[in-house]
Amino acid sequence: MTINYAIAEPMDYAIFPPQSSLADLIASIVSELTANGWVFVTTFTAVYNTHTETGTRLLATSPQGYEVYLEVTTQTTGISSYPNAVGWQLKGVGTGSVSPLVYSQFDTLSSTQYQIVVCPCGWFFSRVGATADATCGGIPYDPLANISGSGAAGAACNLGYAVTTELWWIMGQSGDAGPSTINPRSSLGLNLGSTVPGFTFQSQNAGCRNGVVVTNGLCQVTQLSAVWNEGTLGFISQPIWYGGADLEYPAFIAWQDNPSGPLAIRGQIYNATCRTGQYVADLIKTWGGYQWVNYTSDYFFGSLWCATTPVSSGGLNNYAFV
Amino acid sequence: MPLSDIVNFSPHRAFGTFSTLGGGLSGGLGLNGSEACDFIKTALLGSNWQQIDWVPATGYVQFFLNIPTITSGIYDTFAIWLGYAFYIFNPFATTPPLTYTDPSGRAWPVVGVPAGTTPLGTLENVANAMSIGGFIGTVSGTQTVILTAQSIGVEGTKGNNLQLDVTGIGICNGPASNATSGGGWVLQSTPESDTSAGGNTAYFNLTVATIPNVVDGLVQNNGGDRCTLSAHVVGTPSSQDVTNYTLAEGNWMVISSDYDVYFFTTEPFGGGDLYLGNNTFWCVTPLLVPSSDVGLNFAAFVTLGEFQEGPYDVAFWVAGDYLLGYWGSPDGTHFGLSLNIYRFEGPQPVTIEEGQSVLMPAIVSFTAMAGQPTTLVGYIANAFVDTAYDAPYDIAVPEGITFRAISGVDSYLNTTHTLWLASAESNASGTGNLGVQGNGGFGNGAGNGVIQNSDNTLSATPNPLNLTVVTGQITSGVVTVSTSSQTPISITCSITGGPTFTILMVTNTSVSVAQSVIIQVQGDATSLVPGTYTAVLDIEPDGGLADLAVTVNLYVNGAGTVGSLSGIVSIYGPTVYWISGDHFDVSMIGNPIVIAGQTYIVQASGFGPNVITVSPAGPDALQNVPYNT
Repeated sequence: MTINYAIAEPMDYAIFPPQSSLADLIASIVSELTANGWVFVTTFTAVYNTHTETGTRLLATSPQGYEVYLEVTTQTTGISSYPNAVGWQLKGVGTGSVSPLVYSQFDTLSSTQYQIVVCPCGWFFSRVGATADATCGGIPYDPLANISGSGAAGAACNLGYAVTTELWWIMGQSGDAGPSTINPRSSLGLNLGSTVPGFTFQSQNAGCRNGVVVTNGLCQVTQLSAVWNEGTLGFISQPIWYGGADLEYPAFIAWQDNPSGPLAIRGQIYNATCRTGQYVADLIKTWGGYQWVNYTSDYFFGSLWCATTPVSSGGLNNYAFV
Repeated sequence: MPLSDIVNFSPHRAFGTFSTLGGGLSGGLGLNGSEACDFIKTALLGSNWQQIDWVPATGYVQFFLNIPTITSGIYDTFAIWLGYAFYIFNPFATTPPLTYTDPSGRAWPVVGVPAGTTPLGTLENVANAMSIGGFIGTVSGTQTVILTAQSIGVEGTKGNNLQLDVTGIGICNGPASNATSGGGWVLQSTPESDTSAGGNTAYFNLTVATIPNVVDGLVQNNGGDRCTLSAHVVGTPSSQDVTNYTLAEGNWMVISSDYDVYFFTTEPFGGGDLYLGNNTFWCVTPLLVPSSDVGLNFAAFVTLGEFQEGPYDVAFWVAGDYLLGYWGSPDGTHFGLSLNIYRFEGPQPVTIEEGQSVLMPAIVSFTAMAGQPTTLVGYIANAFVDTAYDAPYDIAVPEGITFRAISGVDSYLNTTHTLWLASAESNASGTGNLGVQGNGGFGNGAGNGVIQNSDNTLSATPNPLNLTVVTGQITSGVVTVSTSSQTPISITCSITGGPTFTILMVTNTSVSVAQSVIIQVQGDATSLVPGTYTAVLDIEPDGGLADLAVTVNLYVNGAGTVGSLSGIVSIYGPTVYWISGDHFDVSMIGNPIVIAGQTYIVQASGFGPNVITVSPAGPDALQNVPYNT
């Protein structure tokens, strides 16, 4: 039995050469997204913290028919002491839902390369070989769509579940420069099991279902783990087969509706999968019909991999949960 | 998602429940150690384990037969179970020893007084007669015969124990003490490589045997032995023992498959909750994945005591290494096993959107060192893990297959996961909180087997295997009341082809009912509380003196018929007619009776009024019998 992937095509993995300006970087991002299924909607200006910025609005559509807007903006005032950053913000289509504004700082150093893995309903952005400035988000595969009705399916065949009309997630910047948050570029889960726990700036992460944006729900990629000891929260461990191979498992996106509620898996991230092994950032491997790039940088408890290229036809429409 | 996507079913499974009381300080009436051994053996054989050896009892048993007054023959007959044979003894019987064959075909020697011995009915004759049956009989004082039995190296039932179960009919005052034990069996699980894919070459030899029940230095009274389990993992590169796990007093559940056996105390009688340190014993050879990346052909573990999601009291082995560790070991290392599951790292469970839990394959890993990766070794057969919590022993029935929750709460993490194990129970229902969705699943490579869900189901509450048929008498071994809500208990007794009687166990006295059936209940049943009760059913000859085909169904209110045994009750025997309440009806004169296949005619005796006999002359016991008018 092989793992079931949620696949959205087209897919691509682009590495941008050092950009001369923030505008150039945003233009490269928009170009890559629109070349892979995102639809250009408009350019605009808007006021952020008393500063007027420019941006581009794009529309993402998942294979199941869910939609969300992504606004990529210049943030010249930036955050803290960093004056220039790419602003990422998701907005519901007709629902009024708005995600936190998350940032990827722009670095003009000639050695700085940015990269992005894209599909028609998601992105994984980062700096090559580094954890800083990474953001990601999109629309996941909804496992209940077939029985609850969803964006495209409407309210048909509702078996007692709430009809899903909107579903998306976004994660803010990871790394040690500026506000850092849980981001699969640096960790899965909550990173509480790390021997050097990172600073978890939660409020930048958000999930949205049916117009309800949750910013304090510990949005995360669920982590499969064992424990090496019963005890405190930090005693989880990653399981590795006796012969050294790691274990692949589905990449689920989850968040709580409230701090006392369960960590609810909302869906499976398109074009992504998880492994229990620890790998260097941006490592490329091929298995299961796809070429993958490792998005998670040297995280002891596992890794998130993004599909970059189909190498066979076997995986298409091989959705999880079905 | 089909259950088969996340569960690797073994070819065979079996399930059973039983109670252990073992005659501890309470002098319990439940399954003693030998009987528990019997039952466990049957359960394991039902899931394709093989019996490869038996363990003879060692030492000896002494029994003090208190006989205050030797009176007449009809009141001085004893029936003694020696573990491997059954003896019926009458010191007044002068006929040669006879042999009675029970329904299973096993011969039971009947011991009489040696020919020419006189006078009859003395303590010396008692001692001499019992010696014919293999005992060493000595007279002690004026009223006591000490009987000593030793192992004769014969495999039998009941754990091959030297235990004496004495059914004194007449003036026997019952057992005073007994002593040693040690008999049992060695049962072997199935190496995975012998059956299908995977290739785990490890297997278990599980010794199921008895030990004396010693409390405060004193061996407890008759039936006081205890069932013990000793696991020995067999294979390369390492073999190791985990010995002497004694089943505590309580209600037990056993779930076994080709590759594992799981014991769990569902209700310890000693009080407390389910998390006592002695409530679990689990031997597992995981299903291995045939991959060079995995690199294993041998893995097994044994858990003792409390099983939790995290490691706890775990001994285990893995290829290339031999590791034996316990939680909280003095050196600070923490070895154990763990199941792989989505963890929140917080107190709440992981669910899917609408609240259903995530069901996943039960992949087990061993932990080696603190802070290091755990080592995945394989899949636990017939099991899956669940990101929601269910209490131990809860039942869920996905796709019509009964699963039991066998994991506990991680009291530290307070995580809410469950390990479910297919139990092979049939007709079970439950409200286990199972999700309706699984994940995409992982590659496993282990072969699926044919599901045998109900064929191997056993029940020993009460234990039908312990139902013994004595001449003219049926003794049900145990009727267990697990909760007071099950009161009252009734026993349904039916004679094949005849009427059915239902008798409530309401008192500790004999209760007469219609159609010549008498029920005697031992123990206070007026207010049934958790415990074990014994019922004795006497069959009277009113319906015609012939061997009777009898079916005894043991029925618990609210639970239905929980056990039964059918057999032939022969009325042959010297004591059948003189059990209290029995009578030889005068109306039988002139009618035929059938005893042990021989037809006799009941007729008046020439020895006085109200005395009858049979023709042709039958055994002593049928001569000159008083009858009721």
